[in-house]
Amino acid sequence: MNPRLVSEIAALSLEHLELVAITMAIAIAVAIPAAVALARHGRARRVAMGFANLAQTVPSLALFGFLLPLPWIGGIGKSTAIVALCLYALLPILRNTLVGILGVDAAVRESAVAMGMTRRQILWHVELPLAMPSIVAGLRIATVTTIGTATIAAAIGGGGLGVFIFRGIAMVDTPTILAGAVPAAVMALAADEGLEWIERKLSS
Amino acid sequence: MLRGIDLTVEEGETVALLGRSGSGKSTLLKAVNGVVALAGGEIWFEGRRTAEWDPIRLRRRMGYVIQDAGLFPHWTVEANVGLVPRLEEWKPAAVAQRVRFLLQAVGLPAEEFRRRRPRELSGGQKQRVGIARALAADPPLLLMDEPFAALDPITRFDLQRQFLELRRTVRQTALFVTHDVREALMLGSRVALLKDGELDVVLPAAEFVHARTTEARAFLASLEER
Repeated sequence: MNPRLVSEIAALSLEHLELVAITMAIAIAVAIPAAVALARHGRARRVAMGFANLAQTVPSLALFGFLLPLPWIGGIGKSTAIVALCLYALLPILRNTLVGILGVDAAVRESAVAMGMTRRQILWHVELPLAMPSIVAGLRIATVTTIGTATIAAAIGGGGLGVFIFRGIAMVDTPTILAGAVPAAVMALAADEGLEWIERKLSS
Repeated sequence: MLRGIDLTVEEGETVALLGRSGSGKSTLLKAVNGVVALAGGEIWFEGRRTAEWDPIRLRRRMGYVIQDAGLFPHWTVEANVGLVPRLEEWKPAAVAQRVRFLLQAVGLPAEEFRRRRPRELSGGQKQRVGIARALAADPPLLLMDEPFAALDPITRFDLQRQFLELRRTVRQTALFVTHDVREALMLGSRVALLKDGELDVVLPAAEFVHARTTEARAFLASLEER
């Protein structure tokens, strides 16, 4: 293989990973605390889940397009791409964290309260540990979809492996498309395997 | 839901709160440790109104046992039993010693059981751990909400006897909710019968069989049907 191509694949893979890592960090930082807060408020929970579901239904290319003209978060480049990717990553993390926390056995929660644990202690020592397998399952879904969706970021100048894919489509050149698609698929499979392994460890 | 209830629990006695489903007996228990707020009236504990207590402190002074034990599934038996002492910041050695003592007291050899997880226990063993956990910080009052209702008859009888033994040895003060008149008579030093959120009758267990109210006779009839 052409050494120029190899180094470009490496550079774009790294850029792709960076997009995914930043997206996941932001999505986790928003979705998990939000889920913790929403677990205690039924009405707000329905509104927030409705919004997150709605964001999920917007076709990804269209969402990138919608964000372009917006001030602050919009425009050509990485930050717009990251905002769009975050909107997609939020839902699975939010939903799985909620499912995990709400799924804690009522008898366990009742006795935690009656034993004189504070709300904070119940959250950190009971609810979150018991919700962890479900949270990790949500992270896994979010990571894998983000790796795939991040290829579209190239359409708005976000960089990453999508650069190859869009270039290959424009040139009608399959090897160029594969130079983007194969590393992205490998990345997604590796993330899936790795997080599944953690998930299994946690639920045993 | 609860009206006109006037009940005193003396030190060292077990009051059985007897009643049908929906009679308010569990609600009364939860009002005592402040899980259910009072709309009116007051409950006194250790010379103070419960409303004046910090709810966290209040609950740590009261052991609590429920039907499904409610053990923390991700913790070992030892961690479950040692919960309140750890919350109260006992020294680790003191916690370990207390856990060992309590497991023996409820009939579970500590060496064999302390590292197990709740899912590795039978229903009766879980409930024993639940009782040990409730007694861990030596609470002046033990609250029990139908703790043996979900057990098979033989295990239930075994635990009931063990509870009587425990009551005799440590003179534990307890409020015990049950819908089983036989259990109320066996474990209670007094029986308080609730009906539709009101106290129907309160009598020493030995005299309860002579109670005259309709509700009491309805319960006693279930004893005679044989």
